[in-house]
Amino acid sequence: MNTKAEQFDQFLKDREVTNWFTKEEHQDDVNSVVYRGYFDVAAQQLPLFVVLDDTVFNLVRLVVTTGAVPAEKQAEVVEYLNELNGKFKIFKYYLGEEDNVVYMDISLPASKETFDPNLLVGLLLEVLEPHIKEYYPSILGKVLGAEEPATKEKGKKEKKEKVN
Amino acid sequence: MAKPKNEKSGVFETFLVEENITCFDKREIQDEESTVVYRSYIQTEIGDMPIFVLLDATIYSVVRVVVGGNVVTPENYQAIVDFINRENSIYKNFKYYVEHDDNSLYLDCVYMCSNSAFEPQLLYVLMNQIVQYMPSAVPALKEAMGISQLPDPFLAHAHEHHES
Repeated sequence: MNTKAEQFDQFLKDREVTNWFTKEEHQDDVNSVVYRGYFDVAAQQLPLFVVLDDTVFNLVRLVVTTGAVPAEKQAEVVEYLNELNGKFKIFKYYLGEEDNVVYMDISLPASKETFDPNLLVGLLLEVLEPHIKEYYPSILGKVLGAEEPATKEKGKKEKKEKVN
Repeated sequence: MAKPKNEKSGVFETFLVEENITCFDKREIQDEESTVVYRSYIQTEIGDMPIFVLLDATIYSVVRVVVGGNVVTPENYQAIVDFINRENSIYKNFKYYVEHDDNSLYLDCVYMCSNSAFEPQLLYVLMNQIVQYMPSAVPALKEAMGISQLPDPFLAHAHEHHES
């Protein structure tokens, strides 16, 4: 198992978090460990993955739609995902090329020396979870082609002003 | 109340000196987060793309590339959005987005860490990945944007000189 996964396991154990994730250890070149969990959002369970390995690249992936976006809705959905990507600094939404499912990734680069499980969990619980609870209805609205739900748009952009 | 201290910029500048990296111009923004902007350019066959490193007092450090300043039009918008969705689904560590405010195409890479865990080497690795990736993306970018040369990034800052 890789060092970051060991740190993450210890962090969860110290806080007696035992039922959030199931863990898969992969026998690959970078000793990948995949943690599978869920976020409960609007009566749905959205699959959540945390991937830690020997590289400096750590990944959080949320499966936002459980099924493929219908072909006739894809252009509008991709346009809305672009809007979210411009508005929110750390989240990257995209439509999967193969399965046309909406995903959201967070890249959290860190070496094993500076990997911070507290930052990762804080990111999941204090940033990602409130964000997806707020924006899931509007994403689903685009996917289903329904009227825009009452998602409360934040007026202030989260990212910095453009610097040119 | 005193402004929060940007502890990352000093560490980054020490790294640049040690590594004899001289490609950046530095600008200090007098904002609440003590932002410092480092600017350079990625040279590509369609022109120079400005690249910025934005460091501030928050946990977010950003590498931002102005892939195409003022190149997005109603005619090429759908092709660009299709291109960026494809790239966003493939590459983990950065994301493209279109900013409608200035009709421009951006690429962002966000590196999250506490001030004490900031690793300038890692930030530089992330930036170099983008610098090395960008030429390979240019053919598809040209096709999506429908242009053979980017607008001159200096044009917006040009001064007129008249012969007297």
